[in-house]
Amino acid sequence: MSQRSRVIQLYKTLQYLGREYPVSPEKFRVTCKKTFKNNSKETSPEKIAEMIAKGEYVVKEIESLYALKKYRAMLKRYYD
Amino acid sequence: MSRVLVGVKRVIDYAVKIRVKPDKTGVVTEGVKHSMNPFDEIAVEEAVKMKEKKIASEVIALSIGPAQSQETLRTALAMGVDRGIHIEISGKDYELLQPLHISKMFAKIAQDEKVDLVILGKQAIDDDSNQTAQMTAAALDWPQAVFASAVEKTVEDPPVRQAGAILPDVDALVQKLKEAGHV
Repeated sequence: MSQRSRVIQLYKTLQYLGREYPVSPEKFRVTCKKTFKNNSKETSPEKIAEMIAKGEYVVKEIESLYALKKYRAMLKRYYD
Repeated sequence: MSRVLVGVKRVIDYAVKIRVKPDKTGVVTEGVKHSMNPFDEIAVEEAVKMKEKKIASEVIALSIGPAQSQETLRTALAMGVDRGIHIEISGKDYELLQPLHISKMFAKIAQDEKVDLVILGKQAIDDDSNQTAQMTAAALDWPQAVFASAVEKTVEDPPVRQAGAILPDVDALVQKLKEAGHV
C-alpha cells in the first residue's frame, strides 16, 4: 500500500472508531480532522511514516478503551 | 485436535438505553443498535485462543435469529472464527423462541458438525436466562462446566463417566450398589 492510501485508511478507521467515543464523538471527530489537516503539508516520507505509526497506536488505544468500557459495564451490571 | 462450536447471539448493544414499547409487550428493537452479546464475545475469544494454541482445529460460530444476525456472525468471523452457521428465524417465530428450542438446535448442529466442544457465553444480556448452555449439555448428554473463567487443557483422556449409567433392572442396581459398598 502506498503511503497516501495508508493515511487515508488510517483516517477512515479513526473516523469509524470515533463514532462511539465516550462523552462526545463529535469532538473526537473534529479533533481528528484538525490533526490530519494540520499535518497535511508534511512531505518527508520518514516523518509521515512516524505519524502513521502514531495513528495506528491511537487506533489500538481506542480499541482497548472500548473493550475496557464494555468490561466495566458488564462488571457493574452483573458482579456488583 | 478438537472441533469447537461457539454460540453468538445478536442482542441490543450494551450501551443502548432500553425503552419499553408503549403497549408493554416488549422492548423497542427497531432502529436500535445491535451487537454481539458481550459474554458470547468472551466465548469466541476463548475459542480463537484455543485455535491459536493448536488445541482446536476448527472453530464454528452459530447464530440463531433474524437476517441481521449475519452481522453478528461476521463480527465472529472477523475475530478469527473459521466458519459461521446462521439459522434464520424471524418475525413472530423469533419472538416465541425459547432457550429450550435454541439448545435443541445447538445439540443437533453439534452432532451434525461432529464438534467436540461447545462454548457458549454464560448468559445473554437481553433476556439473562442463563439456560441455553446447560440445556444444550443435557440434550447432548455431555459433561458441562458452567461459569468458567478460563479454559485449559490439562488431562489427555478425561475419566469415563460413571454416574448416571442406565441399568436394566433393580437387581442390577442393587448389585452395583453392593459392589460400591453402599448397601
